Formats: sequence, C-alpha cells, structure tokens
Amino acid sequence: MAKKKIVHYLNQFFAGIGGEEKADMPPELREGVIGPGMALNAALGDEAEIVATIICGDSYFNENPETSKHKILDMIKPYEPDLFLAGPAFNAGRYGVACATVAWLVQEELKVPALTGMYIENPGADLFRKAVYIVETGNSAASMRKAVPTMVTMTKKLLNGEEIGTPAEEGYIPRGIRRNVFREERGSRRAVNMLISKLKGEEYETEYAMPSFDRVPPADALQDLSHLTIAMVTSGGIVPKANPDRVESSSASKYGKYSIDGIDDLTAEEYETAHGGYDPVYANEDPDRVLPLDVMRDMEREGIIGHIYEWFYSTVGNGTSVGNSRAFGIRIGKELKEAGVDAVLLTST
Amino acid sequence: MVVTNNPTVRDHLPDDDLKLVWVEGEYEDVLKVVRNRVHEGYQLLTHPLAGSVKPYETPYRTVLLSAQASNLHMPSLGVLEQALTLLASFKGKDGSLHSLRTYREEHLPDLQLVDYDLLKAAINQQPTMQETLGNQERGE
Amino acid sequence: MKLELGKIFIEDVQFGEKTHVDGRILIIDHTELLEAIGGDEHLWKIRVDLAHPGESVRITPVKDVIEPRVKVKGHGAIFPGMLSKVDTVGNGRTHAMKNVAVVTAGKVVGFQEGIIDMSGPGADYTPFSKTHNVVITAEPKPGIKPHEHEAALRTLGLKAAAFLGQAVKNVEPDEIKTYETLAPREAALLHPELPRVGYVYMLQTQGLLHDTYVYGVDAKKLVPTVMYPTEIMDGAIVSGNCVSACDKNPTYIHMNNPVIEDLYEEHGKTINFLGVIITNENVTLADKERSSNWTAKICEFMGLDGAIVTQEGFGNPDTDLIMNCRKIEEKGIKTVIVTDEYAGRDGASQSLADADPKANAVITNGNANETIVLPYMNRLIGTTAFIDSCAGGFDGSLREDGTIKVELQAITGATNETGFGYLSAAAY
Repeated sequence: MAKKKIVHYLNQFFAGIGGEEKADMPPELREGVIGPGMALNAALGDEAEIVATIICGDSYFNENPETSKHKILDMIKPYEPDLFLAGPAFNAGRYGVACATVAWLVQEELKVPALTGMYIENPGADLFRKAVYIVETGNSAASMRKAVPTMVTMTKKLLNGEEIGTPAEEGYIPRGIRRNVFREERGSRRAVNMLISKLKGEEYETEYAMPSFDRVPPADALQDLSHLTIAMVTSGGIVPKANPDRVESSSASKYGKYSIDGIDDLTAEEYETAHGGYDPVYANEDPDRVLPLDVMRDMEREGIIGHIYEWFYSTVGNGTSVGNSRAFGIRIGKELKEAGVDAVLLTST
Repeated sequence: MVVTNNPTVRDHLPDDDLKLVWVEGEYEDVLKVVRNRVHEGYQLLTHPLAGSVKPYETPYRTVLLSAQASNLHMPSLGVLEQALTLLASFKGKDGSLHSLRTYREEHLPDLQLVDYDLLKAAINQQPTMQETLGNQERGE
Repeated sequence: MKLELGKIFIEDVQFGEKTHVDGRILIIDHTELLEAIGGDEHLWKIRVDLAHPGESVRITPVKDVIEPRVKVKGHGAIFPGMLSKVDTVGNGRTHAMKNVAVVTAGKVVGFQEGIIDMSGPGADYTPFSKTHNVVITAEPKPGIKPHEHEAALRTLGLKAAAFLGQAVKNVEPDEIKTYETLAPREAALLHPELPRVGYVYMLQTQGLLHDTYVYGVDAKKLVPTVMYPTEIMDGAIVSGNCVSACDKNPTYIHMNNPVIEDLYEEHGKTINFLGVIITNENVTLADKERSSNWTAKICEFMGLDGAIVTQEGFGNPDTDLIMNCRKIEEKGIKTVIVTDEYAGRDGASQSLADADPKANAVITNGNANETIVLPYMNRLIGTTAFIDSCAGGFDGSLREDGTIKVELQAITGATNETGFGYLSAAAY
C-alpha cells in the first residue's frame, strides 16, 4: 500500500532559516522534510510520509493574513495530501496562531484532516481549540521529544479515520465539545460517590467544568485622590494618529504606550481609535470619549487628583485572547508599579 | 410592565394596571427590548427564559418588569445577558434561533397559551414579589 | 419513620379474566381496569395497550409513567392528596409491582413530546423500555381546555397504577427492603461520626404543563420544606409535568428516586442521610431568590455537612440550580449538583443557562441536543403526527421510510436529572 501523504507547515525559525530578522519571509515551498518534520516522519514509519514542507515567516503571516492564506493553500493543493500537519509551535505566539489558522483553513477549504500542536497558553490554542485538534505540548522546543509520539498517534488515527478519544486519552487540548457517553454507574450513584469524596476532601473529577471565571475582586475605594498619581489605561484602542505601533484592530498581540505630558485634550487631529469592533465615528470625533483626558486634566487642576501619570497605555479588546490580555495586564501593572503610580483609570468601550 | 410579542397576552392582559409594551418581533427581540429597559433602570421580575420551554421551541416570550425605574439593577442585567448568550449559542449558521426547528401554524395558539399561563403564574405571586426585590444582590 | 418496601418482580403482563397476579404474570381484566379508571367527564375513547420489552413498538407522545404500588400496612394510601386523603404516608409497608409501568399518552397541547421505543437504539436511552408498559391513551372531549385535559389524564394514570397495585397487596414479596429515617436528633446520636447529608429535590413548578404536586398541593404554592424519603416512595410527589420529556421526572421516577435509594445505600456506612428538602422552580426571580434562600437555610438548620441537589428541566431552572448550589456552599455545606446539558447538536454550545465557580462538583446526565435516528417500528401506540414539532423534533424528523431523527430531548427519561440513567457527557 502506498504511503499516505502529509504536508507540513513550519515558520522561518524551525525551518532553520533565521530568527526575527527573517520573520517577514513570504510562504515558500520545499519538497520533502525539514527540521522537526524529520522526527515526525521517522515516527510515522511506513504508514505515511511528509512529502512537502511550507515555510512562512511569522510576521509575514500575521501582517498579510489573506495573501498568506491563499498562497499557502495554493501550494498545498497539488499534493492532494491525506493530512496536514503544522508545528508544533510550543509557546511561540504568532507561530501558534499561524499553525492553527492554516490547519483550520486546510480542514475547511480542502476537507483534509489537520493537526497541530502547541503549548496550552499559546494564543493560537485559544483561538482555534474548538475548530481543530491541537496536541498539547510543553512551552519550549525542549518538549519536542515528548510531543512527537502524541502527535504521531493522533496523526495515524486521523489518517485511518479512527475515532478520537477524550483529551486525556489522546493528549489534545480540550475543544469544549460535549459528547454523550454511557458510564458504568448511574448518575445518582456517581453523585453520591462524588459527594463522599468531596466530604472527605479527596480528589474527584467534576463531569462538567463550569466555564472558567477570571474574576478579580475590585480594590477598596480610594477616599482621597488629591495626593495620588493616576494612570490611564484603555482597551478602547485610542492611539496617536496613524497608529505608530500598529496595534491590531482585533485580536491584539500588543499594546502601545504614549506620552501625554503637556497634552490637555485628545483631539481628532492628533488621536484616533484602532479598534475594529465598534463604530469608530464618535471615538474619532473626540477620543476623550473613550479615554477622558480632558476631564482628568480639569480634575488635576482643581486638585481632586494629585497628578496624571505622563504615559497612557492602549490596546484593543476586540477578540483579544484571554492569555494575551492577561500578559498585557501583568506587564503594564508592573511598569506602573515601578513608576510609582497609585491608581489606574481603566476604560473600555 | 409586561413586554411581550404574544397576541394572547396583548389581548387578554390579566391585570389592567399592567403597562403593556408590545414587541412586533421574535423571542430575541422581546429580550432585547427588555434589556434596553433594564439599562434604563427597570428590574426584571420574571426570568427571561420560559420555564422548561427551550428558546428555540416557541416564537413567543413575555417578560414582567418592575413598574418603576431606579438605578441600574445589576442582577437583572446579569441574568439577561446570560440568557442572550444562551440564545446566541443556539442559533444556526444562518443566525436564526429557529433555523433548526419548526412549529406548525396550528400549534401557535397552544404556544401562546403556555407563555400566557407562565405569565399568569407570575402575576398570581406578585403581592409577594416586590418585597424581596431589595435582597437580590448577588453576594459574590 | 420506617417503611418496608416489598418488591414483586413481574415477568409478563397479559389481558385476561379478573385482574390478578398469577405466579410472575400480571393478568389484567380490561373491563375492570376501564371501570376503575373511567368516568372522567373530560375524556372519551379511552384505550389500553400493552407494550413489552424487546417488541417493535413505539409509544408517543408520553405524558407520565407510574409504578403500580399499594399500601399494605401503615397510615394512608398511595398518592395521598391526589387519589386518597392527605394522611402522612411513608410508614409501615408498601408493595411495589416491579417491571411494570402505567404509561399515559396523548396530545394535551399542539407541541408534544415523549417517545418510548421498546427496542432498537432508542430503547437504550429510556428506562421505560425495560418495563412491561400498560399504555393508556384517551381523547379529550371537544371543547375542554388543556388544563382540564392534563389533569384528567394525570388522574387516569394514577388511578390505573393504584388499581393494578391492588393485585400485589396480598402477594408475598420477592424482596423486602427496609428504609428508615429518624428525626435529626436521634439520627445524630446514632451515627455521630458520619457526615450529615441531605437531598435537595428541585421540582418543576411553573404553570401549565410545568407542575408538580406534593400531597395534592401544587408545589409552586409551597415554600421549601422537609420530607421523610419514604413519603416519596408512597407517591407523595406526583408529576403534572409535560414539558421536556428527557429531563422531567415522571411519577415513576419520583417513587423510585435513585438519589434517595443510593443515599440510603450509604446511610450508616459512609454518611448519615437525614432527609429530603423539596424546593420548587418558579417563574419570578423573587420566588427563585426566596426558595433558594430557604433551601440553604433549611440545610443549615439541619446541620448538614453535604447535600446533593437535583434539577428538573432546563433553562430557567438552571438559575434555581445555581442559586441553590451557591447559597448552600456559602453556608459551608459541600454540594454536588445533578443536571443535564443542552450543548447543541454539535456539542459546541454553552451547556447550561447559568454558571458559578462554586458549582465545582457536577454530575451530568448527557447532552439532550444530541441526535439519534430511531428505526421504523411495527406497532405504534399513540401518534407520530407531532414528531416534527415536538421538543427535540424538527422539520424532516419523521422521514418517509418511517424512521425518525430526533434529539434525545424527545425521549422520555433520556437525560433524567435525578441520575436515573447511565448517560453522561464528556469534554472532547
């Protein structure tokens, strides 16, 4: 029987072409196996082989998503692969997003099963875990050796159309798909068992995990702001005109930090919103509507507020992953703390 | 205040003192009108979802709101947003809540009746309804 | 309070002369049965059919399922407040006719539901494919209102179960199980070292087609209260609930509540099972707040360490479930909640209409939106004319070849939220 055909996707780094300086390379097709593909190919044995590898720079993919997608699909099509593999991307954020996006695209457009792998906190996992199988890996390439057998086992199952088990059995990141199963004990008995375990303080596994809640208790109210330094942070996308840092209009991978030293008012001439998730007309007419610097300055002059911190931070909350948001928050918080800021005014849209 | 798209409720309002807000639209439209009212400070008196009738099973919905508006009532808004999220998750690819289900023309009176009856059950309990409203803050 | 539950295991049900049990066979006299249940001014064309496990039979639309029982010793009679006086039941001795169920079927309002297949893939999802079913169908007389129709049909079923129960009154049971619950003080003295556990039993109580009766009282008019578990075994809780076939509690399930059985199983070994707290699922938010406050208060009052909370229905009752769970947990009482899911046909939607991080121990009885294809059946009791518009059905559900594609919602008891079945759901 002929070996089944697989096309593999890598970024510039894992393909051995270069680091960040090569991140803007457009998609490129190479016959055969490259880099991490070697280990996967070896483990696939006689069943399948990687016939081609597509390499694309991370920046290029993220900045030219439409062009990249078309080019990559056109490169894959002639091979008529039985399966598509991407990565694994470990904790590389842009690479993870690219791997998951391409895997999903291949699955949707070419109707070919696809598989990728990455660290659970990779934003690519957040975005696509529901749509594609993503094998959970460690957070660095050092975990490649562990990832190979898991990816290969799943690859073989997908190639043969075998049933895929639970995330715990197979090692993929839970997709959040609920599927019915018959259990050995009836529900009431399982409830009694679970209660006994809970009462004894023993481990038990809930059969339905509540959607995760990341609730932060609000800090105590401040009584007197007149001696405090207040910073302004927004997820409403207010940036200097022309968006110098190119904060994305959705699914932001970064935030910007801008000086407001000596500025009294965010004018339509100087500022705008980068946000793509709401009608920008009113924000662009007067950016103070999202980030109220004008009234803050008034309060500063009136002595209600001690001092407005000279930098504001801005990102876009539109579809931005929880992982990215958390990372931004931690970094911004750390900087503000070091700068001696006492409180933060946080505005959204 | 009664927000409804159910003709039986409109035509046979169980209590003349109730203000009727008629919605010419679907289940979700009713909830959106209710949400707008909640934004204005009205409180939800009945749950936005109907008994055990799934939102995709009936075109009719009636929701009871407080007569007066005051400050924004967060528990009301919380329950409502949760219901709207649920509705969204039941929609088909065409964005319609009912794309996967049908009801027959001849059953519409029965569906109206069940919705109407749930409203009556709520109104019958109304004298005791007001007093506990103050305690609805979620202690989280 | 102490109840001896004597079980008589029946292996076949046949029509014949004079209703009685002959060995392991229940003989039903058709005329006697009709006489016992008949005389309702709202119904006519009452029909009785038999359906046996493994037969190619489909019963739909099913309203209620009831186990025949009879009180042998002790106060009162079966179904207090409904068929008999309101004497407190749950004491003495009761006989249960096992493997037999009375099933009422018929259309109350236009959109109807409830399928029992006696064989094929659908049979795996309903507990009532394993019982010999005595199916009663009846037509409403013209002009009667749905409320009256529902009540008449409900009473018909209860009467039939009580009538058939009489047949085992003087039969020596194959098995006798004794269930005893003491008052909290004595119970605490008896097992001081064991954690004290209660069962919070949520009843669907919202209006037409959504009601449950306790000693004949419409349970939406109750505030949460305490019951001895054995009262429920004597039919103190009766279903008037016609919505959501998969996760409503038919009277049969109230009588055989599996949480009560399994808590009794552990009683005196790993836990001290103190009793049942019944509560309702109401329409108004204020009532939901009050009932959940009271439920938590009673749990605290009883000095519970742990509680199991079961739900009935989906959507609006999710709010009651989560409120109960959160408030009981806030009293420092460990809870496990038992529910089912509506995660969409692809399993990707939000499973519950409410959520709380305190609900960290959940038993699920499956995704009711998952679809199943039910094959053609040789015999039909009732009608499939409503399949495409019943809950869980959809346009094209009833196919030309007689097969039916429906969501599990349409199958009676498929995702029952007292944990009566083995179905569950897992994350993939």
